[in-house]
Amino acid sequence: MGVMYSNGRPVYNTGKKTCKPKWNALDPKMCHPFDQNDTQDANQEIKNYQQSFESIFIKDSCDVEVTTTDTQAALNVQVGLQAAIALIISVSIADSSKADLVTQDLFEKIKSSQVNQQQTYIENSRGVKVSTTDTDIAVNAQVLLQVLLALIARLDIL
Amino acid sequence: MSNKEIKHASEKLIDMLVGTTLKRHNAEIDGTSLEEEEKEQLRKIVEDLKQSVEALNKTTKEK
Repeated sequence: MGVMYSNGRPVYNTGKKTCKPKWNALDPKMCHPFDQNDTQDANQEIKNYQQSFESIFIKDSCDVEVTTTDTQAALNVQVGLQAAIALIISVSIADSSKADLVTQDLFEKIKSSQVNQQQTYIENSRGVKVSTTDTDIAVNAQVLLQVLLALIARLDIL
Repeated sequence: MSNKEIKHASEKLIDMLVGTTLKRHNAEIDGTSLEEEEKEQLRKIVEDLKQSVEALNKTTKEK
């Protein structure tokens, strides 16, 4: 460890390398960290994408493409399916109190977890594509459709 | 178990679930009182919903 003097003061060289400048997405001359052989950074960042709450933050980044499930459309389909199930039961079971009980019972049983909430944070990134999928809601719609088809099969109108 | 087999099993399960629920409440699905026009409307509703769910699944798969 050599001692050097700067303005009459000793400066110790600890052998530590100086920190690399932080990568800046807005600087086109900087090499993207994913382009280097260091994959550890990539893994750490991907892990962070899976968080709770349905929100997406994009900061100091460019060329970022985000695709998410259209939750509103999926919910509309879900509501439509629920209404169709209730309608078919109501028109095909003569006793209205029985019809109500069957509807209530069926919806109780097929109740599943609702909207999958996610938080995506993209900072200092360039050329990133992020896709978030709401699997829960798609599965829920599929189950409701199967219930509807089971009812329709009994109604024998197809 | 392939995806197709799982789908078939789940369809059977849900069919059983609907059947047992109806049985528990001593209720029966009967479409004889429905008019032809109502049946046609119901068929149309089911077909539209089927397509909507397929579209939703397709978007999910594409991602």
